[in-house]
Amino acid sequence: MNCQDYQQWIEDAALGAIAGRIADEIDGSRRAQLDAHLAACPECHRAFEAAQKLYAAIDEGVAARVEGMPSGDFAARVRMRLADERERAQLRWWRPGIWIPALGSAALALLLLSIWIARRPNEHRHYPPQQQIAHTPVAPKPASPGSVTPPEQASVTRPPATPAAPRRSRVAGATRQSRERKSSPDSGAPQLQVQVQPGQWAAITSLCRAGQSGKVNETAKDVPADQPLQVKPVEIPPLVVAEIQDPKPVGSEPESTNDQDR
Amino acid sequence: MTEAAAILDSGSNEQALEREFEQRLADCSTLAYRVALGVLRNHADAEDVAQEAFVRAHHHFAGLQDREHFKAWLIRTVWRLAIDRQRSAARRDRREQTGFELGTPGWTNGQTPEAQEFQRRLDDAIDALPADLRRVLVLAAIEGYDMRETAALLEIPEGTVRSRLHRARKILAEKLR
Repeated sequence: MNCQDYQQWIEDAALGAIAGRIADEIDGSRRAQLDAHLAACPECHRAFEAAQKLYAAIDEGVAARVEGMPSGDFAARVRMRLADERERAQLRWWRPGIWIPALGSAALALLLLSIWIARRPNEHRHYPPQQQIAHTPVAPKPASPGSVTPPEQASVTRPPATPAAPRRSRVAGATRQSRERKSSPDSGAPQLQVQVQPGQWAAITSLCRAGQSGKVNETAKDVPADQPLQVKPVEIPPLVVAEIQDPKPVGSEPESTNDQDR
Repeated sequence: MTEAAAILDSGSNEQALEREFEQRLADCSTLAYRVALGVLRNHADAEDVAQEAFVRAHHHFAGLQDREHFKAWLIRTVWRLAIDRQRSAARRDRREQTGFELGTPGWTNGQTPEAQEFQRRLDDAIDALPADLRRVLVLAAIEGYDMRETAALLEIPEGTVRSRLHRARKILAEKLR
C-alpha cells in the first residue's frame, strides 16, 4: 500500500477519536498496520496529526458553543411567566374575541324570545283599546233567559252619573273586575258584580226583578213561573247610511241633510 | 369519598405536581439553556427560549412525569423553539445587533484572532448542517460525547447517534480545511 491508500484510514482514525471516548473507526489489525506506516512515513504522520488537531478543534469549538450557564434568576423568571400565563388565562374572558360573540348570542336569544312572545295564542295577546272592545263581551248580557244570574249571586252596580273615565276603558275594566270576582277563590259563593252602560239601567233592574218574580214583564203575568221564558227574537233593522254631503263654506248657513227638516 | 375529601385530595395532588415540576426545573434548566444556546449562540435568546419551553412543559406536566421522557420532551421543545427563533428574520436582526453591541461571544474571550476566526467559521458550518446531524452534534457536546446519554435524550438508537455524529464531524472538517 502507498501513502494514498492510507489517507482514508488516517481520516477514519482521526475521526473516531473524540475526546478519547469513541473507539476508532478502523479495526485493530488495520490500526496496527496504520501505526506501522505512520512510524515509517513522516508525511502521513504529519497528515494524521493535522487531522487529529482539526477534529479536536472542532470538538472544542462545539463544546465551547454550548458552554454556559443560565442566569441565577432563571427559575424565578419561569415562575413569573407561569404567573403571567395564569393571569392572562383569567382575563381571557374579557377579550373582544370572547365577549363579542357572547353579546351577539344574547341579542339573538332576545330577538327569538320577542318573536315567540309576539306569536303567542290570542288569549294571551294584549290588544289595543279599540280591539279590546271588539273582543270583549258586553258585561250585562241578560238577553238569554237561561243565562240570567240568580239574584242571590248577582248584584248590579249603578254606573256613576258622570263617567269620569272613557267608555271603552270603563267597560274593559268592568270585564276585568267581573273576571277577577268570578275566579277569586277566597270569595266563597261567587258574587257577580257588573257595571252597565248608561241607558241600560232600567232594563237590567227590570230583568233582575223578573228573575226574582219569575215573570218577565206585565204582559207575562199569565205565564206560570215554571214555564220557560219565551223571548222574541231580536230584530235588527237594516243599517241606513245617510249620504254625506260636502260642508258649506265657512260663513254660510248650515244646511240640514235630512229630508224632513226641509 | 366525600366531596371535601376529593377537593383536599386534588389540592394535594396539585401541590405534589408543583413540587415535582420545581425539581425538574432545577435539574434541567442548564440542559435546556445549553441546547438553546447551541442553536442560537445568544445568551438572552437562549434563556428566553428555555423559559418558554419550561412554561409549555408546565402546561403538559401531568403527562410528563416520567423523568427521562420529560427530558426528551424538553429537549425537543427547546430545539424546535430555538429553530423557530433562529428562522425569524426579525429576531435574527435583533440578535445580530445585540451581538454587535456586546462584542464577541463569551467563549471567544482570550482567544487569538485566528482562533476567533476559526470559531466563526465553525459556527457557520454548524448552522449549515442538516437538522438531525446538528441536533446530535450539539447534544453530544453538551453531554460530553456520551453516546448512550445522547441516544436516551433523543430517543434514538445509540448506533444512529454515532453514525450521525461522525457524519457531522466529517462535514465540518471538510468545510474547515
